[in-house]
Amino acid sequence: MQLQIREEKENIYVKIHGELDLKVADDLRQELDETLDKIDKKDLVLDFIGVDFIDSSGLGVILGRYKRLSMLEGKLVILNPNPNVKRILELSGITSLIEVKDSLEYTG
Amino acid sequence: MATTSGAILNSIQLQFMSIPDNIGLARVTVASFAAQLDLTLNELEEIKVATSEAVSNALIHGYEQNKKGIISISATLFEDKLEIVIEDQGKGIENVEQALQPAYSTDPERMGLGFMFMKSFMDDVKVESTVGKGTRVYLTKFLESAQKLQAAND
Repeated sequence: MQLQIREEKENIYVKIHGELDLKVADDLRQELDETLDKIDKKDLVLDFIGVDFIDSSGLGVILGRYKRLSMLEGKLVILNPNPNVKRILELSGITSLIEVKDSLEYTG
Repeated sequence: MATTSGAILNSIQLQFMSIPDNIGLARVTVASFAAQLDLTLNELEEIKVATSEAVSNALIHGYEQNKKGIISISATLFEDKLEIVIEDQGKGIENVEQALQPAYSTDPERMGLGFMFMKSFMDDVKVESTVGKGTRVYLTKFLESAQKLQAAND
């Protein structure tokens, strides 16, 4: 798993590459939390363009960061999930909490 | 290990240590085996997720992250179904019925989605567990008649 992290005007943008399962869950959680500690922005944009697979371990990390952000009235947005990943996001119910968009719609 | 249901057309077995790196290997191997059938890409992805969840459960709950456990997987193609069995010799589940409930989780971050995904993505999920001995999860996908035909012809 690889992350590309960028501070934008209004948010933190993180492009994720890899398969989000139990193998990477701890590293993903830690890197995202460190980023949120370091960069003082309320909103987090996770670009899933390079995410090939996600299961409940990966979803748990995403949901945990959503909870952290929403306590401080921040927002989490997921960009560009592939169709398979998008189905998993929908089935998990996470899309009722977290905005999921394609890049074209993203103006951030 | 597998329950009988017509003739066995093909079967594989895989054994590996309870290390997180092996979860990807397990789901890709099972999906490759399933790809012999005339399944859609969605169905193959579903089999991947279900396998990943069962193996993750074995690692997290069965072996409590101890990396020296052994996980066994068999995938068997019968005339009318594909059956994947994931087995560990870990600590077992005290209350299987409770573990299968949608929102039940011992880990708040995983949200109890593991069994929910297995149940959503497979046609049947069966769990046998003995405390102190281990757990066996049966994931079954019933095959449509066209798929059966192809399986029999191959």
